[in-house]
Amino acid sequence: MDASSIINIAASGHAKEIMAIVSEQVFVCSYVREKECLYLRSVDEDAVETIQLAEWQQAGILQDCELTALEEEQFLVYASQVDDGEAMSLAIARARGFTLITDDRKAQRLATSAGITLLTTPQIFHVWAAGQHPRTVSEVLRAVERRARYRPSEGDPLNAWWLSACDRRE
Amino acid sequence: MDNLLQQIDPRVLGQRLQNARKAAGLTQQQVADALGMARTTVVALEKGERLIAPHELIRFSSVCNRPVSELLSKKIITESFVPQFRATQHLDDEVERLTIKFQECAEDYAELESITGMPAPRMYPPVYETSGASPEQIGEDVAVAERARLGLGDGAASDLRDRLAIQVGIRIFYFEMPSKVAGLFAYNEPLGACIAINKNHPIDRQAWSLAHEYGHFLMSRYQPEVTVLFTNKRSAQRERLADAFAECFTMPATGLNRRITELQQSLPAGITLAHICELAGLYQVSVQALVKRLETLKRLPSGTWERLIAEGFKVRTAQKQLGIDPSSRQNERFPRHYVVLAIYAHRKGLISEGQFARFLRVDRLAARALLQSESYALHSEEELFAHYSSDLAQRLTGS
Repeated sequence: MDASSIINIAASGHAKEIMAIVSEQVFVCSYVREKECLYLRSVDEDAVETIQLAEWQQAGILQDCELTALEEEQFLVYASQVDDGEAMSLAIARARGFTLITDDRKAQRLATSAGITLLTTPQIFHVWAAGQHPRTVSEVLRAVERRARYRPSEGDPLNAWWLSACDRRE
Repeated sequence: MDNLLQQIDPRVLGQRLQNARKAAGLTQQQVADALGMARTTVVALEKGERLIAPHELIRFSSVCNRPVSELLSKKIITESFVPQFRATQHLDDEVERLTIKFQECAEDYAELESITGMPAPRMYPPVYETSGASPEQIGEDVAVAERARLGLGDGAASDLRDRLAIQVGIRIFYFEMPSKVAGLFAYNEPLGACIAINKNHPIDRQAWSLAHEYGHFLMSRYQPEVTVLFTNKRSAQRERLADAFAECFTMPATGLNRRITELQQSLPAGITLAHICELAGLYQVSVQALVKRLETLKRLPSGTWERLIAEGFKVRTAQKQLGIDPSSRQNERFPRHYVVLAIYAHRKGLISEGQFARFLRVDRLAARALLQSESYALHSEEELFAHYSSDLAQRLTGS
Protein backbone atom coordinates (compact mmCIF):
# COMPACT_ATOMS: atom_id res chain seq x y z
CA MET A 1 0.00 0.00 0.00
CA ASP A 2 1.54 3.29 -0.98
CA ALA A 3 1.29 6.73 0.61
CA SER A 4 -1.44 8.13 -1.64
CA SER A 5 -3.85 5.40 -0.52
CA ILE A 6 -2.83 5.46 3.14
CA ILE A 7 -3.86 9.13 3.34
CA ASN A 8 -7.24 8.36 1.77
CA ILE A 9 -7.99 5.38 3.98
CA ALA A 10 -6.85 7.27 7.08
CA ALA A 11 -9.19 10.16 6.25
CA SER A 12 -12.16 7.81 6.33
CA GLY A 13 -11.87 7.41 10.10
CA HIS A 14 -12.68 3.69 9.63
CA ALA A 15 -9.28 2.38 8.59
CA LYS A 16 -9.34 -0.88 10.53
CA GLU A 17 -12.82 -1.85 9.44
CA ILE A 18 -12.23 -0.92 5.82
CA MET A 19 -8.79 -2.52 5.52
CA ALA A 20 -10.12 -5.75 7.00
CA ILE A 21 -12.06 -6.39 3.83
CA VAL A 22 -8.96 -6.02 1.65
CA SER A 23 -6.71 -8.72 3.04
CA GLU A 24 -5.46 -10.14 6.28
CA GLN A 25 -2.04 -8.86 5.37
CA VAL A 26 -1.48 -5.37 4.08
CA PHE A 27 2.12 -4.17 3.91
CA VAL A 28 3.75 -0.78 3.99
CA CYS A 29 7.34 -0.36 2.87
CA SER A 30 10.05 1.14 5.05
CA TYR A 31 10.40 4.39 3.10
CA VAL A 32 6.71 5.29 3.44
CA ARG A 33 6.75 4.26 7.07
CA GLU A 34 9.90 6.14 8.04
CA LYS A 35 10.39 9.02 5.62
CA GLU A 36 7.04 10.13 4.22
CA CYS A 37 5.30 12.99 6.01
CA LEU A 38 1.71 11.81 6.00
CA TYR A 39 -0.85 14.36 7.12
CA LEU A 40 -4.59 14.83 7.18
CA ARG A 41 -6.64 17.95 7.69
CA SER A 42 -7.92 17.82 11.23
CA VAL A 43 -11.62 17.20 11.82
CA ASP A 44 -12.28 20.92 12.33
CA GLU A 45 -10.13 21.58 9.24
CA ASP A 46 -8.18 24.33 10.96
CA ALA A 47 -4.98 22.35 11.22
CA VAL A 48 -3.25 19.24 10.02
CA GLU A 49 -2.64 16.09 11.98
CA THR A 50 -0.06 13.39 11.46
CA ILE A 51 -1.17 9.92 10.43
CA GLN A 52 0.20 7.62 13.10
CA LEU A 53 1.29 4.55 11.15
CA ALA A 54 2.70 3.01 14.32
CA GLU A 55 -0.85 2.86 15.66
CA TRP A 56 -1.99 1.18 12.46
CA GLN A 57 0.73 -1.41 12.92
CA GLN A 58 -0.20 -2.00 16.54
CA ALA A 59 -3.83 -2.37 15.49
CA GLY A 60 -2.81 -4.96 12.90
CA ILE A 61 -3.95 -2.84 9.95
CA LEU A 62 -0.51 -2.68 8.38
CA GLN A 63 2.63 -4.78 8.52
CA ASP A 64 6.18 -3.71 7.77
CA CYS A 65 8.06 -4.87 4.75
CA GLU A 66 11.65 -4.20 3.77
CA LEU A 67 13.32 -4.12 0.42
CA THR A 68 15.47 -7.21 -0.09
CA ALA A 69 18.81 -7.24 -1.88
CA LEU A 70 17.21 -8.93 -4.86
CA GLU A 71 14.67 -6.12 -5.17
CA GLU A 72 17.18 -3.26 -5.02
CA GLU A 73 17.92 -3.03 -8.73
CA GLN A 74 14.22 -3.01 -9.59
CA PHE A 75 13.69 -0.33 -6.95
CA LEU A 76 16.32 1.85 -8.62
CA VAL A 77 14.64 1.43 -12.00
CA TYR A 78 11.35 2.64 -10.53
CA ALA A 79 13.07 5.36 -8.50
CA SER A 80 14.21 6.91 -11.77
CA GLN A 81 10.53 7.29 -12.70
CA VAL A 82 8.56 7.95 -9.49
CA ASP A 83 9.40 8.87 -5.90
CA ASP A 84 11.04 6.51 -3.42
CA GLY A 85 7.91 5.34 -1.62
CA GLU A 86 6.09 4.61 -4.84
CA ALA A 87 9.19 2.95 -6.32
CA MET A 88 9.71 0.73 -3.29
CA SER A 89 6.06 -0.30 -3.24
CA LEU A 90 6.17 -1.12 -6.96
CA ALA A 91 9.41 -3.09 -6.69
CA ILE A 92 8.18 -5.15 -3.77
CA ALA A 93 4.76 -5.82 -5.31
CA ARG A 94 6.38 -6.90 -8.56
CA ALA A 95 8.97 -9.19 -6.99
CA ARG A 96 6.61 -10.86 -4.54
CA GLY A 97 3.49 -11.01 -6.68
CA PHE A 98 1.59 -8.70 -4.31
CA THR A 99 -1.40 -6.58 -5.22
CA LEU A 100 -0.47 -2.87 -5.15
CA ILE A 101 -2.86 -0.44 -3.51
CA THR A 102 -2.27 3.00 -4.99
CA ASP A 103 -4.30 5.98 -6.14
CA ASP A 104 -1.51 7.50 -8.14
CA ARG A 105 -1.99 7.47 -11.90
CA LYS A 106 1.66 7.15 -12.83
CA ALA A 107 2.27 4.36 -10.34
CA GLN A 108 -0.85 2.63 -11.67
CA ARG A 109 0.47 2.88 -15.23
CA LEU A 110 3.85 1.44 -14.26
CA ALA A 111 2.17 -1.34 -12.30
CA THR A 112 -0.11 -2.25 -15.18
CA SER A 113 2.77 -2.42 -17.65
CA ALA A 114 4.63 -4.74 -15.24
CA GLY A 115 1.63 -7.02 -14.77
CA ILE A 116 1.11 -6.03 -11.14
CA THR A 117 -2.46 -6.43 -9.88
CA LEU A 118 -3.91 -3.10 -8.76
CA LEU A 119 -6.39 -1.95 -6.18
CA THR A 120 -7.51 1.62 -5.58
CA THR A 121 -9.17 3.19 -2.57
CA PRO A 122 -12.37 3.93 -4.54
CA GLN A 123 -12.53 0.17 -5.26
CA ILE A 124 -11.98 -0.60 -1.57
CA PHE A 125 -14.63 1.92 -0.47
CA HIS A 126 -16.99 0.55 -3.11
CA VAL A 127 -16.77 -2.97 -1.69
CA TRP A 128 -17.00 -1.75 1.90
CA ALA A 129 -20.02 0.46 1.09
CA ALA A 130 -22.12 -2.54 0.02
CA GLY A 131 -22.81 -3.46 3.63
CA GLN A 132 -23.26 0.06 4.97
CA HIS A 133 -26.07 2.53 5.41
CA PRO A 134 -25.94 5.16 2.62
CA ARG A 135 -25.64 7.95 5.17
CA THR A 136 -22.54 6.32 6.68
CA VAL A 137 -21.02 5.88 3.22
CA SER A 138 -21.74 9.51 2.37
CA GLU A 139 -20.15 10.72 5.60
CA VAL A 140 -17.04 8.61 5.07
CA LEU A 141 -16.51 9.64 1.45
CA ARG A 142 -17.08 13.28 2.33
CA ALA A 143 -14.53 12.95 5.11
CA VAL A 144 -12.04 11.60 2.57
CA GLU A 145 -12.73 14.52 0.25
CA ARG A 146 -12.39 17.01 3.08
CA ARG A 147 -9.57 15.64 5.14
CA ALA A 148 -7.45 13.98 2.45
CA ARG A 149 -8.46 16.40 -0.32
CA TYR A 150 -9.12 13.38 -2.52
CA ARG A 151 -11.82 12.54 -5.03
CA PRO A 152 -11.39 10.00 -7.83
CA SER A 153 -10.57 11.63 -11.15
CA GLU A 154 -13.23 12.03 -13.82
CA GLY A 155 -11.60 9.19 -15.73
CA ASP A 156 -11.92 6.77 -12.81
CA PRO A 157 -14.62 4.12 -13.43
CA LEU A 158 -15.92 4.71 -9.90
CA ASN A 159 -16.11 8.50 -10.17
CA ALA A 160 -19.87 8.49 -10.87
CA TRP A 161 -20.51 6.03 -8.02
CA TRP A 162 -18.43 8.14 -5.64
CA LEU A 163 -20.27 11.38 -6.45
CA SER A 164 -23.64 9.67 -6.18
CA ALA A 165 -22.72 7.99 -2.88
CA CYS A 166 -21.51 11.29 -1.46
CA ASP A 167 -24.90 12.85 -2.19
CA ARG A 168 -27.01 10.03 -0.70
CA ARG A 169 -27.80 10.87 2.89
CA GLU A 170 -31.23 9.29 3.41
CA MET B 1 17.23 -6.26 -16.56
CA ASP B 2 20.17 -3.99 -17.31
CA ASN B 3 21.74 -2.30 -14.35
CA LEU B 4 20.35 1.23 -14.37
CA LEU B 5 23.47 2.56 -12.70
CA GLN B 6 25.58 1.46 -15.68
CA GLN B 7 23.46 3.67 -17.92
CA ILE B 8 24.11 6.86 -15.96
CA ASP B 9 27.29 8.85 -16.48
CA PRO B 10 29.22 8.09 -13.26
CA ARG B 11 30.62 11.64 -13.16
CA VAL B 12 27.11 13.08 -13.22
CA LEU B 13 25.92 10.71 -10.53
CA GLY B 14 29.10 11.37 -8.54
CA GLN B 15 28.42 15.11 -8.67
CA ARG B 16 24.90 14.54 -7.41
CA LEU B 17 26.21 12.37 -4.58
CA GLN B 18 28.64 15.10 -3.63
CA ASN B 19 25.93 17.76 -3.71
CA ALA B 20 23.65 15.57 -1.58
CA ARG B 21 26.43 15.05 0.96
CA LYS B 22 27.31 18.74 1.11
CA ALA B 23 23.66 19.76 1.35
CA ALA B 24 23.40 17.44 4.35
CA GLY B 25 26.44 19.14 5.88
CA LEU B 26 28.44 15.91 6.01
CA THR B 27 32.12 15.33 5.36
CA GLN B 28 33.40 12.51 3.16
CA GLN B 29 34.78 10.85 6.28
CA GLN B 30 31.40 10.96 8.04
CA VAL B 31 29.69 9.38 5.05
CA ALA B 32 32.47 6.79 4.73
CA ASP B 33 32.08 5.86 8.40
CA ALA B 34 28.31 5.55 8.08
CA LEU B 35 28.65 3.36 5.00
CA GLY B 36 31.51 1.30 6.40
CA MET B 37 33.87 2.16 3.61
CA ALA B 38 37.15 4.03 3.27
CA ARG B 39 37.07 7.80 2.70
CA THR B 40 39.01 7.24 -0.53
CA THR B 41 36.10 5.12 -1.78
CA VAL B 42 33.69 8.01 -1.17
CA VAL B 43 36.11 10.30 -3.01
CA ALA B 44 36.19 7.86 -5.93
CA LEU B 45 32.39 7.60 -6.00
CA GLU B 46 31.97 11.37 -6.02
CA LYS B 47 34.52 11.74 -8.80
CA GLY B 48 32.78 9.05 -10.81
CA GLU B 49 35.91 6.91 -10.79
CA ARG B 50 34.17 3.97 -9.17
CA LEU B 51 30.74 2.65 -10.12
CA ILE B 52 28.36 2.68 -7.18
CA ALA B 53 26.46 -0.52 -6.34
CA PRO B 54 22.68 -0.42 -5.83
CA HIS B 55 22.88 -1.09 -2.10
CA GLU B 56 25.58 1.58 -1.71
CA LEU B 57 23.45 4.16 -3.48
CA ILE B 58 20.45 3.36 -1.29
CA ARG B 59 22.57 3.65 1.86
CA PHE B 60 24.33 6.80 0.62
CA SER B 61 21.03 8.58 -0.02
CA SER B 62 19.69 7.44 3.34
CA VAL B 63 22.75 8.77 5.19
CA CYS B 64 22.38 12.11 3.36
CA ASN B 65 18.63 12.08 3.97
CA ARG B 66 17.96 12.35 0.26
CA PRO B 67 15.47 10.27 -1.74
CA VAL B 68 17.16 7.93 -4.21
CA SER B 69 14.73 9.20 -6.82
CA GLU B 70 16.22 12.69 -6.56
CA LEU B 71 19.61 11.28 -7.51
CA LEU B 72 18.33 9.15 -10.36
CA SER B 73 15.34 10.87 -11.89
CA LYS B 74 16.86 14.06 -13.18
CA LYS B 75 17.51 14.01 -16.89
CA ILE B 76 18.87 17.54 -17.08
CA ILE B 77 22.63 17.41 -16.76
CA THR B 78 24.47 20.56 -15.78
CA GLU B 79 27.84 21.38 -14.33
CA SER B 80 27.77 22.17 -10.63
CA PHE B 81 27.29 25.85 -9.81
CA VAL B 82 29.71 25.55 -6.88
CA PRO B 83 33.01 25.70 -8.83
CA GLN B 84 31.59 28.51 -10.96
CA PHE B 85 30.78 30.56 -7.87
CA ARG B 86 34.11 29.65 -6.30
CA ALA B 87 35.98 30.99 -9.32
CA THR B 88 34.78 34.51 -8.53
CA GLN B 89 34.34 34.65 -4.76
CA HIS B 90 34.87 32.81 -1.50
CA LEU B 91 32.02 30.53 -0.42
CA ASP B 92 31.64 29.41 3.15
CA ASP B 93 29.82 26.12 3.85
CA GLU B 94 26.50 27.85 4.42
CA VAL B 95 26.64 29.74 1.13
CA GLU B 96 27.87 26.66 -0.70
CA ARG B 97 24.77 24.76 0.47
CA LEU B 98 22.73 27.68 -0.74
CA THR B 99 24.20 27.48 -4.23
CA ILE B 100 23.41 23.74 -4.32
CA LYS B 101 19.81 24.44 -3.29
CA PHE B 102 19.62 27.15 -5.94
CA GLN B 103 20.88 24.80 -8.63
CA GLU B 104 18.39 22.11 -7.59
CA CYS B 105 15.51 24.56 -8.03
CA ALA B 106 16.79 25.59 -11.46
CA GLU B 107 17.32 21.97 -12.53
CA ASP B 108 13.84 21.03 -11.36
CA TYR B 109 12.40 23.86 -13.43
CA ALA B 110 14.26 22.65 -16.51
CA GLU B 111 13.16 19.10 -15.69
CA LEU B 112 9.50 20.13 -15.60
CA GLU B 113 9.89 21.90 -18.93
CA SER B 114 11.44 18.74 -20.34
CA ILE B 115 8.74 16.44 -18.93
CA THR B 116 5.91 18.61 -20.27
CA GLY B 117 7.69 19.50 -23.51
CA MET B 118 6.94 23.14 -22.80
CA PRO B 119 10.13 25.12 -22.37
CA ALA B 120 9.69 28.78 -21.52
CA PRO B 121 10.87 31.04 -24.32
CA ARG B 122 14.16 32.82 -23.70
CA MET B 123 14.17 36.41 -24.88
CA TYR B 124 17.59 37.41 -23.66
CA PRO B 125 19.13 40.68 -24.82
CA PRO B 126 22.83 40.63 -25.72
CA VAL B 127 25.18 41.39 -22.83
CA TYR B 128 25.45 45.16 -22.46
CA GLU B 129 28.83 46.86 -22.93
CA THR B 130 30.17 48.19 -19.64
CA SER B 131 33.32 50.07 -20.53
CA GLY B 132 33.99 53.71 -21.30
CA ALA B 133 32.03 55.45 -18.55
CA SER B 134 31.48 55.41 -14.81
CA PRO B 135 29.47 52.51 -13.30
CA GLU B 136 26.75 55.00 -12.36
CA GLN B 137 26.45 56.31 -15.92
CA ILE B 138 26.51 52.80 -17.43
CA GLY B 139 23.92 51.59 -14.92
CA GLU B 140 21.67 54.48 -15.88
CA ASP B 141 22.14 53.88 -19.63
CA VAL B 142 21.45 50.14 -19.34
CA ALA B 143 18.38 50.76 -17.16
CA VAL B 144 16.93 53.21 -19.67
CA ALA B 145 17.60 50.84 -22.58
CA GLU B 146 16.17 47.86 -20.77
CA ARG B 147 13.04 49.72 -19.67
CA ALA B 148 12.46 50.69 -23.29
CA ARG B 149 13.02 47.09 -24.44
CA LEU B 150 10.52 45.77 -21.90
CA GLY B 151 7.99 48.51 -22.67
CA LEU B 152 8.09 49.78 -19.10
CA GLY B 153 8.17 53.48 -19.94
CA ASP B 154 9.36 55.50 -16.96
CA GLY B 155 6.73 54.47 -14.42
CA ALA B 156 6.99 52.13 -11.46
CA ALA B 157 8.09 48.63 -12.45
CA SER B 158 5.33 46.68 -10.76
CA ASP B 159 5.22 42.88 -10.83
CA LEU B 160 8.88 42.75 -11.78
CA ARG B 161 9.16 39.06 -11.08
CA ASP B 162 6.41 38.17 -13.52
CA ARG B 163 7.72 40.59 -16.10
CA LEU B 164 11.22 39.17 -16.04
CA ALA B 165 9.90 35.62 -16.07
CA ILE B 166 7.49 36.16 -18.94
CA GLN B 167 9.17 38.83 -21.02
CA VAL B 168 12.76 37.66 -20.62
CA GLY B 169 12.49 34.02 -19.55
CA ILE B 170 14.42 34.22 -16.28
CA ARG B 171 13.90 31.58 -13.60
CA ILE B 172 13.33 33.42 -10.31
CA PHE B 173 13.06 31.70 -6.94
CA TYR B 174 12.50 33.02 -3.44
CA PHE B 175 13.71 31.00 -0.51
CA GLU B 176 15.11 31.41 2.97
CA MET B 177 18.78 32.38 3.09
CA PRO B 178 21.16 33.61 5.79
CA SER B 179 20.45 37.31 6.42
CA LYS B 180 23.84 38.34 5.03
CA VAL B 181 22.88 37.04 1.55
CA ALA B 182 20.53 39.16 -0.57
CA GLY B 183 20.40 37.02 -3.69
CA LEU B 184 22.17 34.81 -6.19
CA PHE B 185 22.57 34.89 -9.93
CA ALA B 186 23.85 32.14 -12.23
CA TYR B 187 23.71 31.36 -15.89
CA ASN B 188 24.58 28.33 -17.95
CA GLU B 189 23.30 27.11 -21.27
CA PRO B 190 21.07 24.20 -20.18
CA LEU B 191 19.43 26.13 -17.33
CA GLY B 192 19.49 29.66 -18.70
CA ALA B 193 19.45 32.67 -16.41
CA CYS B 194 18.52 31.92 -12.80
CA ILE B 195 18.01 34.25 -9.87
CA ALA B 196 17.26 33.47 -6.23
CA ILE B 197 16.20 36.10 -3.71
CA ASN B 198 16.29 35.96 0.09
CA LYS B 199 12.67 35.44 1.16
CA ASN B 200 13.51 36.48 4.72
CA HIS B 201 14.35 40.03 3.68
CA PRO B 202 11.75 42.83 3.68
CA ILE B 203 9.69 42.90 0.51
CA ASP B 204 11.16 46.21 -0.68
CA ARG B 205 14.65 44.84 -0.15
CA GLN B 206 13.66 41.78 -2.19
CA ALA B 207 12.55 44.00 -5.09
CA TRP B 208 15.88 45.82 -5.02
CA SER B 209 17.80 42.54 -4.91
CA LEU B 210 15.86 41.25 -7.91
CA ALA B 211 16.74 44.34 -9.95
CA HIS B 212 20.34 44.05 -8.76
CA GLU B 213 20.64 40.41 -9.83
CA TYR B 214 18.96 41.24 -13.12
CA GLY B 215 21.68 43.83 -13.60
CA HIS B 216 24.26 41.05 -13.28
CA PHE B 217 22.42 39.10 -15.96
CA LEU B 218 22.47 42.11 -18.31
CA MET B 219 26.06 43.19 -17.76
CA SER B 220 28.12 40.25 -16.47
CA ARG B 221 26.08 37.24 -17.52
CA TYR B 222 28.83 34.65 -17.43
CA GLN B 223 30.01 35.45 -13.91
CA PRO B 224 27.81 33.90 -11.22
CA GLU B 225 27.21 36.08 -8.20
CA VAL B 226 26.30 35.73 -4.56
CA THR B 227 25.28 39.16 -3.32
CA VAL B 228 26.54 39.38 0.25
CA LEU B 229 25.52 42.37 2.34
CA PHE B 230 27.47 44.25 4.97
CA THR B 231 30.90 43.44 3.57
CA ASN B 232 33.58 45.94 4.39
CA LYS B 233 35.43 45.33 1.16
CA ARG B 234 35.19 48.00 -1.47
CA SER B 235 32.50 46.94 -3.90
CA ALA B 236 33.74 45.23 -7.02
CA GLN B 237 33.14 47.01 -10.30
CA ARG B 238 30.33 44.67 -11.30
CA GLU B 239 28.63 45.18 -7.93
CA ARG B 240 28.69 48.94 -8.44
CA LEU B 241 27.29 48.44 -11.94
CA ALA B 242 24.49 46.22 -10.64
CA ASP B 243 23.68 48.66 -7.84
CA ALA B 244 23.59 51.61 -10.22
CA PHE B 245 21.38 49.64 -12.59
CA ALA B 246 19.01 48.61 -9.78
CA GLU B 247 18.68 52.21 -8.60
CA CYS B 248 17.92 53.57 -12.06
CA PHE B 249 15.78 50.64 -13.15
CA THR B 250 13.52 50.65 -10.09
CA MET B 251 13.40 54.46 -9.86
CA PRO B 252 13.81 55.93 -13.36
CA ALA B 253 14.95 59.54 -13.31
CA THR B 254 12.44 60.95 -15.81
CA GLY B 255 9.37 59.35 -14.26
CA LEU B 256 10.44 60.10 -10.72
CA ASN B 257 11.29 63.73 -11.55
CA ARG B 258 7.91 64.16 -13.21
CA ARG B 259 6.07 62.74 -10.20
CA ILE B 260 7.97 64.97 -7.77
CA THR B 261 7.26 68.01 -9.92
CA GLU B 262 3.55 67.12 -10.08
CA LEU B 263 3.50 66.65 -6.31
CA GLN B 264 5.21 69.99 -5.73
CA GLN B 265 2.74 71.75 -8.02
CA SER B 266 -0.24 70.25 -6.24
CA LEU B 267 1.20 70.77 -2.76
CA PRO B 268 2.18 74.39 -2.32
CA ALA B 269 3.13 73.67 1.30
CA GLY B 270 5.69 71.15 0.11
CA ILE B 271 6.16 67.41 -0.07
CA THR B 272 5.95 65.62 3.24
CA LEU B 273 7.68 62.51 4.48
CA ALA B 274 4.32 60.78 4.22
CA HIS B 275 4.28 61.44 0.46
CA ILE B 276 7.75 59.97 0.14
CA CYS B 277 6.67 56.85 2.07
CA GLU B 278 3.68 56.43 -0.23
CA LEU B 279 5.82 56.97 -3.30
CA ALA B 280 8.25 54.30 -2.07
CA GLY B 281 5.29 51.93 -1.77
CA LEU B 282 4.23 52.73 -5.32
CA TYR B 283 7.72 52.05 -6.67
CA GLN B 284 8.08 49.01 -4.39
CA VAL B 285 11.40 50.24 -3.06
CA SER B 286 12.53 51.03 0.45
CA VAL B 287 12.02 54.56 1.79
CA GLN B 288 15.78 54.77 2.24
CA ALA B 289 16.45 53.88 -1.39
CA LEU B 290 13.93 56.44 -2.61
CA VAL B 291 15.24 59.24 -0.40
CA LYS B 292 18.81 58.47 -1.51
CA ARG B 293 17.71 58.46 -5.14
CA LEU B 294 15.95 61.81 -4.74
CA GLU B 295 19.08 63.18 -3.16
CA THR B 296 21.10 62.04 -6.19
CA LEU B 297 18.53 63.64 -8.50
CA LYS B 298 18.80 66.80 -6.37
CA ARG B 299 15.10 66.75 -5.58
CA LEU B 300 15.89 66.49 -1.87
CA PRO B 301 18.77 68.14 -0.03
CA SER B 302 21.88 66.02 0.31
CA GLY B 303 22.01 64.30 3.72
CA THR B 304 18.22 64.11 4.13
CA TRP B 305 18.25 60.41 4.96
CA GLU B 306 20.97 60.78 7.61
CA ARG B 307 19.04 63.70 9.14
CA LEU B 308 15.83 61.66 9.28
CA ILE B 309 17.58 58.77 10.99
CA ALA B 310 19.28 61.12 13.45
CA GLU B 311 15.83 62.51 14.29
CA GLY B 312 14.56 59.03 15.08
CA PHE B 313 12.54 58.34 11.93
CA LYS B 314 11.29 54.72 11.89
CA VAL B 315 10.19 53.44 8.50
CA ARG B 316 7.93 50.64 9.74
CA THR B 317 6.20 52.94 12.25
CA ALA B 318 5.56 55.52 9.53
CA GLN B 319 4.24 52.85 7.15
CA LYS B 320 1.92 51.54 9.86
CA GLN B 321 0.52 55.04 10.47
CA LEU B 322 -0.06 55.43 6.74
CA GLY B 323 -1.70 52.06 6.37
CA ILE B 324 1.10 50.76 4.14
CA ASP B 325 1.80 47.09 4.76
CA PRO B 326 4.71 45.86 2.65
CA SER B 327 4.51 42.46 4.32
CA SER B 328 1.05 41.91 2.78
CA ARG B 329 2.79 41.15 -0.49
CA GLN B 330 4.32 37.69 -0.47
CA ASN B 331 6.71 36.20 -2.95
CA GLU B 332 6.07 32.50 -3.45
CA ARG B 333 9.05 30.18 -3.50
CA PHE B 334 8.52 29.08 -7.08
CA PRO B 335 7.41 31.11 -10.11
CA ARG B 336 3.80 30.68 -11.13
CA HIS B 337 4.87 29.05 -14.40
CA TYR B 338 6.85 26.42 -12.48
CA VAL B 339 3.78 25.51 -10.42
CA VAL B 340 1.58 25.48 -13.52
CA LEU B 341 3.98 23.08 -15.27
CA ALA B 342 4.00 20.77 -12.24
CA ILE B 343 0.20 20.75 -12.08
CA TYR B 344 -0.03 20.06 -15.79
CA ALA B 345 2.49 17.22 -15.53
CA HIS B 346 0.60 15.68 -12.64
CA ARG B 347 -2.80 15.98 -14.29
CA LYS B 348 -1.40 14.26 -17.38
CA GLY B 349 0.03 11.46 -15.25
CA LEU B 350 3.56 12.43 -16.31
CA ILE B 351 4.68 12.70 -12.69
CA SER B 352 3.40 10.89 -9.63
CA GLU B 353 1.89 12.52 -6.56
CA GLY B 354 5.14 11.94 -4.69
CA GLN B 355 7.13 13.63 -7.45
CA PHE B 356 4.65 16.50 -7.58
CA ALA B 357 5.06 17.05 -3.85
CA ARG B 358 8.84 16.92 -4.21
CA PHE B 359 8.88 19.46 -7.05
CA LEU B 360 6.84 21.82 -4.86
CA ARG B 361 8.84 21.01 -1.67
CA VAL B 362 5.66 20.23 0.25
CA ASP B 363 4.02 17.17 1.79
CA ARG B 364 1.34 15.25 -0.08
CA LEU B 365 -1.60 16.90 1.65
CA ALA B 366 -0.26 20.37 0.86
CA ALA B 367 0.37 19.19 -2.70
CA ARG B 368 -3.27 18.13 -3.00
CA ALA B 369 -4.35 21.50 -1.61
CA LEU B 370 -2.35 23.20 -4.31
CA LEU B 371 -3.99 21.06 -6.98
CA GLN B 372 -7.38 22.19 -5.67
CA SER B 373 -6.35 25.80 -5.12
CA GLU B 374 -8.55 28.46 -6.69
CA SER B 375 -5.39 30.21 -7.85
CA TYR B 376 -4.69 27.28 -10.13
CA ALA B 377 -8.30 26.30 -10.85
CA LEU B 378 -7.84 26.03 -14.59
CA HIS B 379 -10.38 24.27 -16.69
CA SER B 380 -8.56 23.34 -19.86
CA GLU B 381 -5.07 22.94 -21.21
CA GLU B 382 -5.49 26.06 -23.32
CA GLU B 383 -6.44 28.03 -20.24
CA LEU B 384 -3.52 26.54 -18.39
CA PHE B 385 -1.07 28.40 -20.56
CA ALA B 386 -3.00 30.97 -22.59
CA HIS B 387 -2.80 33.77 -20.06
CA TYR B 388 0.78 33.13 -19.23
CA SER B 389 2.96 33.03 -22.29
CA SER B 390 2.06 34.02 -25.81
CA ASP B 391 4.32 31.33 -27.28
CA LEU B 392 2.78 28.52 -25.28
CA ALA B 393 -0.72 29.84 -25.94
CA GLN B 394 -0.20 29.84 -29.69
CA ARG B 395 0.94 26.27 -29.75
CA LEU B 396 -1.96 24.96 -27.68
CA THR B 397 -4.79 26.92 -29.24
CA GLY B 398 -3.50 26.19 -32.72
CA SER B 399 -3.91 22.42 -32.45
